[in-house]
Amino acid sequence: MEYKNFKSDAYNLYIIKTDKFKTVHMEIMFRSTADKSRMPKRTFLSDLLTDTSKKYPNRKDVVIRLEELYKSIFYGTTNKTGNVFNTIFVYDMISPSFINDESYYEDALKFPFEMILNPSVINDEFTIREFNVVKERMKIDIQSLEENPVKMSIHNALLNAAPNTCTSYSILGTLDELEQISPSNLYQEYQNMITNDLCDIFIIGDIDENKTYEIIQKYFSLRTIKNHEVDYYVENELGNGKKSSDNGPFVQTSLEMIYNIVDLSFYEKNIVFHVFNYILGNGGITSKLYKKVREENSLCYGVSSMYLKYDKMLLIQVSLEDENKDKAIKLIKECMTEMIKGKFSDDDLEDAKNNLILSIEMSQDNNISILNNYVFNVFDKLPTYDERKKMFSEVTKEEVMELAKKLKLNSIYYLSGGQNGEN
Amino acid sequence: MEKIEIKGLKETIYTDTCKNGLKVYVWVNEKVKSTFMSLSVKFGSINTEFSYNGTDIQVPNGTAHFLEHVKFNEKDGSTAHDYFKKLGSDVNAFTTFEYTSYIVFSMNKIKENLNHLLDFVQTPVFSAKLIQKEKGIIIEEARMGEDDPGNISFFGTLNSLFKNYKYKNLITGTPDEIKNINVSDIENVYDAFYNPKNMFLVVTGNVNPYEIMSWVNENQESKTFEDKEIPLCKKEKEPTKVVEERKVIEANVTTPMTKIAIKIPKKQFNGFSDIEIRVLLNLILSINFGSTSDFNNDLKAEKLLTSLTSSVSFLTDYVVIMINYDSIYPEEVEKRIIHKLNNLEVDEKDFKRKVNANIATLVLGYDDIEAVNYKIQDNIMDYGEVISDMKEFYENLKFERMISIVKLLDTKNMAILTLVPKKKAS
Repeated sequence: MEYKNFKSDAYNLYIIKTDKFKTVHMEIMFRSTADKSRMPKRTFLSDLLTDTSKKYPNRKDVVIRLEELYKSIFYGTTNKTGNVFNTIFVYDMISPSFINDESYYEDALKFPFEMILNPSVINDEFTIREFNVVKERMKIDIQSLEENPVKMSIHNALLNAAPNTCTSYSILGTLDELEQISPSNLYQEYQNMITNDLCDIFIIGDIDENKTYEIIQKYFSLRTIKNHEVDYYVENELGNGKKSSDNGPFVQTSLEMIYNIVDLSFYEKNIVFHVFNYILGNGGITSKLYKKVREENSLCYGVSSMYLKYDKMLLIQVSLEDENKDKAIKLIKECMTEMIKGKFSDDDLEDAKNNLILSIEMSQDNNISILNNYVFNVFDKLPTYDERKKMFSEVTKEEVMELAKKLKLNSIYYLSGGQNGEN
Repeated sequence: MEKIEIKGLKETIYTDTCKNGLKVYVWVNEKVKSTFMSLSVKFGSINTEFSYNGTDIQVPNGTAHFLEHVKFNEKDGSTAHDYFKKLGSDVNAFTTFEYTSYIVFSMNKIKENLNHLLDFVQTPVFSAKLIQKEKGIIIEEARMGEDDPGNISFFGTLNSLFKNYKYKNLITGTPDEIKNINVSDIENVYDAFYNPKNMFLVVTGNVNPYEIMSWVNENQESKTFEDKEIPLCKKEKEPTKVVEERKVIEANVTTPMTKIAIKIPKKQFNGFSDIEIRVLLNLILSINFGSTSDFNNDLKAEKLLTSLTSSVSFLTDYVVIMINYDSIYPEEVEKRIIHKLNNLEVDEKDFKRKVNANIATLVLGYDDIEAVNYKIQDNIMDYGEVISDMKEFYENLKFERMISIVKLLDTKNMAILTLVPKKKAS
């Protein structure tokens, strides 16, 4: 694999050249510090800009064009990574080496830039028909949060754990916030994004780097100068372990336990924590949480421990029968105590390290994993593959135990179920 | 080994059969380091009544899925998860209506991974204690499904369509059905169906197919298998008419969710192969209801719905078309969809563009080792063999065939199910 960067004042282009895959995968990213008031508009924009443009005024026209480009795929998404929100336009196309048409690569590659830079706008307002289609879709998405007990529970748990920081911000916003979005203020947000956000393009595939750069320069004519930085990490206050709950109309209860992670070094954040979390719960059925909660006590089908690295939190989630929730809380707390006391074997430690090293190697067979690795290498100085493999191999039991002491219970939340199932 | 050349795509699938009847398929990708293997048993959730060794046997719904869970137990009290963890591999399994598949995703030690996949699936370890332990876990899995509107909608629709076919039953079984499964049910189905003649192995990744085959042969020849017949599954007689034309269920939805399902006897498409039926019906649905149709775009612009999808399934002797939408005006949308179904349009320009796009994606179909593994599994289960001429098929597909199949399409045998928010039952 060959890595090549092209930097300009307006955007940076990062190319990974490899003939491993038949697809060329590109992500065009706009990044900004998380701002609660802007996030729903950004989610709206990421949807709208992939549905319509001046040249392709509606979804039908867009999809027809994508089919003509050998069924290319184009979609937008907005997400939050700690203190940063990202609007990302994703584009997948067949590698030009499979198409016997010299004009194909330029025709295909210019498409997403045409969509992003030439929106369907009249008098500084997005055209109303497509605006309304996306608005309806977003309304349904916001409402559908109430249909998914796990999503709803996590959302509420984070609101309780971090009410004053962006950790609890919703990408979709509320129905009231959606009503405040108009075609004209959305266009202002669009201009804000294009003008002020940091813009980076990552692309992986069997492509000519210089030709790619020339095409992108030709069709992605951003002229803004961006020389600011964003800080990914959120400072959340420590919680006091309080318990809170709501009643839900669901069969199962969804339980969340959130821990603050305090004062991790760069090495602990990027390496030791993954080993810790693998042993605790991320390592599947052989991990501590699974063994205790599922295998030994049959309380659940799945239990997950999510490392919210940039929010400096660990979130443990389990869905189970309501009458078992207190027992599950006790068992989860036991697991955390066992990690502090080093109640895991040398085999557990070695298995975790080996599996993490092997996952790094496996990830190199997937184009999106390779690209994501590069993204965080660029944005957050994530060590390279070889550096990480070496560091994983050197993690000690004492380092894992030491790290376990840096987790403080912030809060416990559950969305109670216990309703009769529908069938 | 036999080589199946995938015509027009420069891909090859290697295949052979062990002496005991186990079929093996291998696809090589030299550009990756990892390997994906699946060992599949042609035994799924619908196979609850069968004849074997002269005896008629019936097991509770959910037994195939239950067996999948307990199959991971090993003789020494450990589980297959423990073993594969040591090798740095991921092991998992899934059960569908028609088969169960055990999968391993690994980076190295291919022989060890392969041998253990074969060993743990082909070694029965069942006890009343293990069965009892697993019940609680599987009941929680079933309960997850009870909180999933998509799951409720799908199985609710199958219940409206089928009187006798067992597709209408949850793959997990209901909590009460799960409680009724006992160790003799598990032993009976294992003994009957987990027979090498009834199984197939697919290996995809950076492997040597001849080496894989020699390891598989070595493994299988080190074991003793009784030469058993494959069980005869009861084939239910299913009446053509749908069971319930219209049903409303209260569920945890904020916007009503509707499925319009059409039940069509496969014999209605006399003169068309299964592949033709599948491809042509999907094209017709895409042209009329997909994102490139004015119908879809107009419904969204009028705020009548936000999502509209469709699918085609083959369920024994029937083809089932499902059209799914979320709308606060379900009756109005239903009226329009039914009108559209009775007035399907086919356009040659759309047809050619979509066929060309599908040809292009055939190339991409041979990129990811996991996707190729599943594609081979689907081919074996749907057609009994690897389909090697899809590119030719598309290139030779004539627009006139689409016109002909539209004329045969009778969409009147329909079941409609709507999930409504809990407070607003009709």
